[in-house]
Amino acid sequence: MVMATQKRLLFRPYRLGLALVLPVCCGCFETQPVDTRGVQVVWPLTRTIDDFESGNGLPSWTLLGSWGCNAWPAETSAAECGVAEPGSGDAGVAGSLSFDLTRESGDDGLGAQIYSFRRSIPLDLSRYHGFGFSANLEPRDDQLISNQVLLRVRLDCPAAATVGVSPQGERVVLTSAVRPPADGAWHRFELDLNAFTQPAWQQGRTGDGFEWERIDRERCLAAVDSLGLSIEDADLEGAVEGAPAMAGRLMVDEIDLYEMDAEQRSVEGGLNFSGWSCRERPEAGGLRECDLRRAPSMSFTMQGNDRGQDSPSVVLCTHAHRLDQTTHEVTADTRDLTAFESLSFGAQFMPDAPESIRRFTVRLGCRELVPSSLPALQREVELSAERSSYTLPLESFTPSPYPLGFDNVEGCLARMDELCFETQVQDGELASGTLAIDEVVLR
Amino acid sequence: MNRTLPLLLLLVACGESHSRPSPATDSDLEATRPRDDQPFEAPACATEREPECVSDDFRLCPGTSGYAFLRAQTFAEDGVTTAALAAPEAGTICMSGRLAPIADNGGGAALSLFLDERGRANTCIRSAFDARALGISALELSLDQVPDTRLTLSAVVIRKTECAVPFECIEGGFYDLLTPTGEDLVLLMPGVNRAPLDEFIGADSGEPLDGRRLSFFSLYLQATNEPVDFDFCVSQLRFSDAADRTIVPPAR
Repeated sequence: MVMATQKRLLFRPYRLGLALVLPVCCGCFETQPVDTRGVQVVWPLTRTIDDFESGNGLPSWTLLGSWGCNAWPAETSAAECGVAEPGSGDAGVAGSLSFDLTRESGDDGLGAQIYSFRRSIPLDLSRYHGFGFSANLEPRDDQLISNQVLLRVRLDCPAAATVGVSPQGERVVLTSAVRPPADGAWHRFELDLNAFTQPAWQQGRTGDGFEWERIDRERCLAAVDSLGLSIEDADLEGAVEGAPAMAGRLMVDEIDLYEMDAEQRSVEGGLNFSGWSCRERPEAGGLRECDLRRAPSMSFTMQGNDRGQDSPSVVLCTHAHRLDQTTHEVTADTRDLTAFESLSFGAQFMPDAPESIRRFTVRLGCRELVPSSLPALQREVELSAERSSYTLPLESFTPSPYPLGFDNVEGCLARMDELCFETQVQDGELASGTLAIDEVVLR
Repeated sequence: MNRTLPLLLLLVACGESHSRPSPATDSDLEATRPRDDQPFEAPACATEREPECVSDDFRLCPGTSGYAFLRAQTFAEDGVTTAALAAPEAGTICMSGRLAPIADNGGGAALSLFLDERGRANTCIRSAFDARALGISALELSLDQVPDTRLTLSAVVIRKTECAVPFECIEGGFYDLLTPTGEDLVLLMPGVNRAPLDEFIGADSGEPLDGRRLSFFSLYLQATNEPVDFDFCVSQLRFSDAADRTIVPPAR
């Protein structure tokens, strides 16, 4: 089971507005393939390595064993790992690595890492193109300065090398790194797996005569034994003089792999979005599964509350984002939909309970307009167990009830930043089933 | 620059994985090991008469599972974890105890269902369990509940019949039950769990299980951040053939 929660989403009382009676899609769907003429929305498939929401120290990807950590130089450094709140998006929990590092001599590197070894067969990452993660680096005192640290991702693959392990026990790795701001805020990064290389210190000959073997990236990615995220002083790269000590806390969250399947890859001129993600509110175990490896789908079982309480809801979303090719940081972006007239998609809702259809709200978010209130244009649609294609005129979308008085339809269309499918249970209602979305096209 | 130490520590810290290869050692052994798909040949020590189901190393038995050929064993990896077996009724094996947290070097615990015959010190495997010869294609078992951690199923094959230490006989012989896509471990759930033998994949070889040299099946509990108390029972153990007919192996 893959459970990818979207903690970057913030939830606000706009949900209450879903109870309002909005126009329900009538006569606008057909049981045909989606007509893909137009501009297709494309997204990568997502394999969640860990979202840390279990809180138990076991990665979401079951092939991986529990998280561990260490620090170096071992004699003068310490690391402690676990989970901490809040996670990225200021929600849920994240993996935590507290470190207190002191240089032993001028030549020593400083660093600490959180890592996980394979629990079973080696990990085959060869079909993925991206490695995404959220990171939050909190300095302690003034010992940790931005740009003096690297956050390095390590993929350990001894099977890719003939020798595999150096005489000192060091294993061949592929790495790539970012420079995270030490500002105590969450940042999202995405690294190109095809840009991972053997680090500088694994090139040439070691002091005791061992010559590092050059390993083939494809072979390494096809048989990864362990992965780790380390915080290190940047002097390894020769950029700055090494700090005498570093102390702080690194939090990591939403560690994902991304894959563009052949179908998505073949779309020319598509509108790029992030991988989909699921979220439940309040978090109560009702979101059973969020399978983003093949097509976005979420399975849920929700029981409505007593009257007067906020009703539970689940939501499946994709976001507009922008990747900075230099810093590898992923930031929120917007898409201009003002030139389009309609939104089409394929969808089905397979109920577990005896309900033939279920009502979902399709939301086009535009958080940039009123960041604290998450405005959107929205409309309702009834989905059935039979997969159908739906075409919704954009003019049929209405402003969300929150923030109160929000009516900037044109502005919202011009700065659309998320597409979501959401359902909410009413008082005492039981809802259970699976929502699946495919082909999304704008015309 | 000293880049070695942290990685050395990392290797030491990896005690959780029962199946991690030691590349140099593994390749050396490979040349002398029988292949998993070769018939089992009884070693010389098999002629020794030793009492079954007695061991100084393993807490074995109680042998009241309802299958005369089956024995059970608890295995706690870290020296802190506790695990005890009970057989409240014929056909049921229960295990209870506590898993130490990861921070206390908690590694895990296992309930192992032995199918082979071995000598007192577990260093001589007198006979393997040949599931293929019996026409077995799947194992079924029922769980009354699952602990608050991951519970997975592995099949273990005999790699050497005479060993200096018990683990050497099965080193590199772990096959884990994976989902049909091969991308995830199957997590056992309350109720009936069906495990087709060809969905056990070699953790080191990547090959599907052949089933001719089986030693035991193991239900493995992974340690977590917190201590985990567990108490669960296994029942309705059943082997079946490709047509889902029950196969009862002969008693030994």
